[in-house]
Amino acid sequence: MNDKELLDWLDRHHVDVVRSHATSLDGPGIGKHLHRSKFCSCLPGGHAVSDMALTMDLNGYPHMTVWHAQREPNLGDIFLKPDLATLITDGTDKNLGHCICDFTNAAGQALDLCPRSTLKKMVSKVSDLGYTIKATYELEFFVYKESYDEIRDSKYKRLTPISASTKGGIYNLRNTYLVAPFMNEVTRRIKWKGINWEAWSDEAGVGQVELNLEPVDPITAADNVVRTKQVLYEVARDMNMAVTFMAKPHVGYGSGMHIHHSLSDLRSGEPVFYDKNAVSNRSVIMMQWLAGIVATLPGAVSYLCPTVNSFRRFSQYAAVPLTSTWGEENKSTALRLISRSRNIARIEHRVGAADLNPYLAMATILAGGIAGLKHELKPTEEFTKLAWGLPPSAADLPTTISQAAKCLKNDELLREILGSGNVEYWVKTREAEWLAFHTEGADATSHKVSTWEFERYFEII
Amino acid sequence: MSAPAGIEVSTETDPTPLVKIFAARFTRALKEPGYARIARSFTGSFALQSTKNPQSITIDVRDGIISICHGIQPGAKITIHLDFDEPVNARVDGLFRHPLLSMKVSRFLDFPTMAWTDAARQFWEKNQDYPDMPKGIKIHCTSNLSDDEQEILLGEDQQVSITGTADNISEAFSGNTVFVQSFVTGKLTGISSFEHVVVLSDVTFQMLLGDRK
Repeated sequence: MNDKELLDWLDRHHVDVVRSHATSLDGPGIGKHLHRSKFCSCLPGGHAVSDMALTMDLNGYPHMTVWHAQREPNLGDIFLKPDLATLITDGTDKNLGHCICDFTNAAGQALDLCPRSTLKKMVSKVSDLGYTIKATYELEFFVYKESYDEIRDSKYKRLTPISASTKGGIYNLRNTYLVAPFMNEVTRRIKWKGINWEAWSDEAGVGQVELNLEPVDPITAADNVVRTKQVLYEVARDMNMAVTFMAKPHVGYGSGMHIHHSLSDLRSGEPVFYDKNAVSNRSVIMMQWLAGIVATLPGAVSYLCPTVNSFRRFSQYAAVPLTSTWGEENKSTALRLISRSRNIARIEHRVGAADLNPYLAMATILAGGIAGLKHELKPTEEFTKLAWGLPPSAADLPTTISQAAKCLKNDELLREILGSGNVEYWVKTREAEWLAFHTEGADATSHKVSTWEFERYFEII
Repeated sequence: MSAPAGIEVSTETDPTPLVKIFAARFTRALKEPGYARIARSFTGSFALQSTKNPQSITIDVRDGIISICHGIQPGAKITIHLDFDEPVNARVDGLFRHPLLSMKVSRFLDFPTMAWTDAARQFWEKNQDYPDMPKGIKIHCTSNLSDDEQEILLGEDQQVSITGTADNISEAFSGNTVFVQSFVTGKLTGISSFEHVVVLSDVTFQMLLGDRK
């Protein structure tokens, strides 16, 4: 889009204000509301923000125990560079436009720590290997009758899920009926924004909903997640309700974010996971790709489960994978393969928590796959039984934020593909999150979700 | 984690920050022969509870092993309630039931302090090549000392200058606190870029947890 086309677009859509939207390391959206003249005059480099926008924790404190060569020596400015291909109108606020941005330095170069740029690099590496990717995320979240302010005023004690059943269920149409007014508004708004959705349904937790978006390229897929999460928040606010992407706000089932993906040949567009002549129709490419994801799974958990609360999901028979296992149509393993037909052959990654950063999670999965192809890895044996309640073994995944950080620190493959600097930085931010949990008032001896977790994650993550 | 001097430090699997901090503190202290003698002669089990947040640990010493785990365990004979950042006014539960143990714990937790010049020089020797470390640090001690004991220069091209009392400088450079904490609380003042404050905090954080010796 050149300058004239941009001005025409802004005029045609009556956009006076553009909201920039980048995604920080922990996942919250970062941006400013810019008058259209400012938005235009900043291009192509975008507008400035303090580099704290990328290098701060969820409470807005700068990262104090890890440095990166691209950080500004004295909290100087970095830039939110608009990706004009993502420019859309709000649809509800009639004069507002939105644009997804990447974090860059003053020279316009993407910063290594920028989550979206990290994903772009992985997509580029996959492209260099001769493949494209199709991906989608399953969004799970809890919906409550109370508003965020009411919930906060009750110190997170008043949390009434929108649900006919008090104990849970799944696909229950009475639960669906109750949450339909909320979800109808959500799907209306995301459709306006060009986000195609496939289905939404009642999920296993009380008041839990799952929303499935249409598969697209991985960057657009991740953009769609951050935009959909923002829409969910805005609709909840507009309707005096609340939504949370906390992985485990209360007893019962927690919220995950399962990620589906498949590869196609870059030139022909043909899916490459399916091979009708191979054992179980699984191509060599699929098995090497899978092997890399399995090999890097313990390290990847840190990206897939980024908060202290993420790990409260981890208990036996809670529909959460606890081992580095894979299996055909097996929802108890970490990776579920679907290889029965050419057009749907894919891998579903089931470890991720609802509070993950979609860019970093996808980048980590792709990094594993890339490692598998690059080193022609062979997968572990398929797990054909129930992967819960197993005796302790080397296949066990880390179950705390500190254990996961340690696994990632020691993961040579992820360091090789994602970059040691990036991995080291992330590990130290997780150590800081671990420290904050312990020193800012949470009780490590209690199994209850702490007020600290609610205050930090409930409305923001 | 093992330590010299005939006594070992052991923690739980996946230790909490406070467990790691005390494990590191004991490990450093045991290098000092006088403290090691005190530690070898101590046997008992006691707990420490923060007065500012729910953090607590239990320290059990027997058969040459200092075992540290989070929480107040049933075997702890006394519990000391204190502010870990300013441990001046501690309250002891079980003081009158176990007066002798309470006294011995007091000695056991009286860790040796390094001279500020030794702490600073040792820090520099081990960490000067750490990525993005300042090329040099000037340290000025405000305690009442002779002129030639009041300032030292570490490295060349002192990009950072730090001022504080002997105790606060020693605390910061021996890994007993995180650098930024000393600045935030005013225990140290200095002239530095934000980058160097972060790098110094990174290194001292690792030292505090025992992840960097």
